[in-house]
Amino acid sequence: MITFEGVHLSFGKNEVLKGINLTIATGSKTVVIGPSGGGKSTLLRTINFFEKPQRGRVVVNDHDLMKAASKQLYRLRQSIGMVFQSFNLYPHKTALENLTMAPLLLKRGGKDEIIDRAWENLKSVGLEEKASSYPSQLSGGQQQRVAIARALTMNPEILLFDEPTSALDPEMIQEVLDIMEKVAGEKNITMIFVTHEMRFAEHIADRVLFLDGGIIVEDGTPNEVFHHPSTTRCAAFLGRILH
Amino acid sequence: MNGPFSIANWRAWFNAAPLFMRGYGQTLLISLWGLVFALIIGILAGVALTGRNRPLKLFLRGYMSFFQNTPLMIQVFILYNVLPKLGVRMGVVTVGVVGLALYTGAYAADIVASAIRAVPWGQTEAAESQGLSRVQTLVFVILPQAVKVGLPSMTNQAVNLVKNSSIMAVIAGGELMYVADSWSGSNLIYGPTFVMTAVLYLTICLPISLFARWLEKRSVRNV
Repeated sequence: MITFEGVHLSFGKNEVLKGINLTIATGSKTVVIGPSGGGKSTLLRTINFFEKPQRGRVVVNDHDLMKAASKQLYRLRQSIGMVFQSFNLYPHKTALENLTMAPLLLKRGGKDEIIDRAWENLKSVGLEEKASSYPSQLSGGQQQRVAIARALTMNPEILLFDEPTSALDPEMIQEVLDIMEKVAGEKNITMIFVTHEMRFAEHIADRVLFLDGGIIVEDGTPNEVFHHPSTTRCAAFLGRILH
Repeated sequence: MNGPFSIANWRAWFNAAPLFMRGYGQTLLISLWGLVFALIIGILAGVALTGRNRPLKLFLRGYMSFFQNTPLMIQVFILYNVLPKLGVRMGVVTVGVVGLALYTGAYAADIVASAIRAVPWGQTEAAESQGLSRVQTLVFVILPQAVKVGLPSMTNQAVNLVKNSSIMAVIAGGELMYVADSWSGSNLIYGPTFVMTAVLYLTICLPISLFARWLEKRSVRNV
């Protein structure tokens, strides 16, 4: 479970999160939408403590991040995966090594077990035959699929997706969405997506948050938020996105 | 043929060649150890420069400014003539190694720091998002990529270091330049001496330079 209690976060004078109160249930699939600069990515990045709030509390699986020492934080992050907009694969490692490096270093299981798991995840994103390719030899879509498999190989309890398709060429977006949908359907991992892909959100989300100006403006099921938004701000945003 | 390049002068030089080879060996020895310690200084200081410890960074900036902006000859002079008066005594080879390491290390630190900065920030985030510590991130993700960026310039520094080892001649260092200087002075045979000394330096530096150029070509191709 992830809990935000009165979370305020500023970058200099710019207040990005203005008092967020939020509870995200274990195993749920949440999609966060909203205009850029509204605080979506910052909200996501507070969960693995890439951004540190000035006020409030962020509690992840009973650990208060505000009080966690660096060592605890490193440990916690092992079970909080992140998929980035720009993939961020390790360019000096093959696809398979990208999956196995961190789990082996951090001993997330025995050696053989980790390698088996990596192969399995590479297979599930459909890139088994690219195991020994380097990231520079892969397309953007393939790189992002490897990045998803890399996050899965850590056996995370929480998986954060920070605009995973925004840097992709249009023809590659669908293959990544398909993989994410598959993962969301198969795994009992708490997943939070920051995305502009509304149809995808409607398929997989059990909850949609509309974030604007650093506050949660709408919070409901995809049907409620997409088809019956209770605020004009959200309706206007959806109007702009969908047309 | 008479003059500085007469047959007799060449013959005299070749008879003295074993002496030069000892100096050549000394140059190699000093350069090798100097390079090892310069790399250690460069990596440690370069990593620290990209870190968060401000007092340490200020100290390193001071060290680098001094060694980059004063002549190596004066630095070696201080190590050899001033430090003993303060109770620090070093043999001539040690002075050479320490002097070259401190001087080259000041440049190596800059190379390492900018190579680390050249690795995209997303790499650090990816590693930290998987739960790697700062040190693990540096060792397994950042440095392996930084090496590719920094190696060509570092190799050029190695060439400079070998040539700079000739500064040891001013403190009777026993290396190649010292041998060339003292032998040519006492025998008044300058032509063959300096031609051959240059050739001997070339045999060390040229392969390193060619290696550097090969590395640069290779890294351009891989980008």
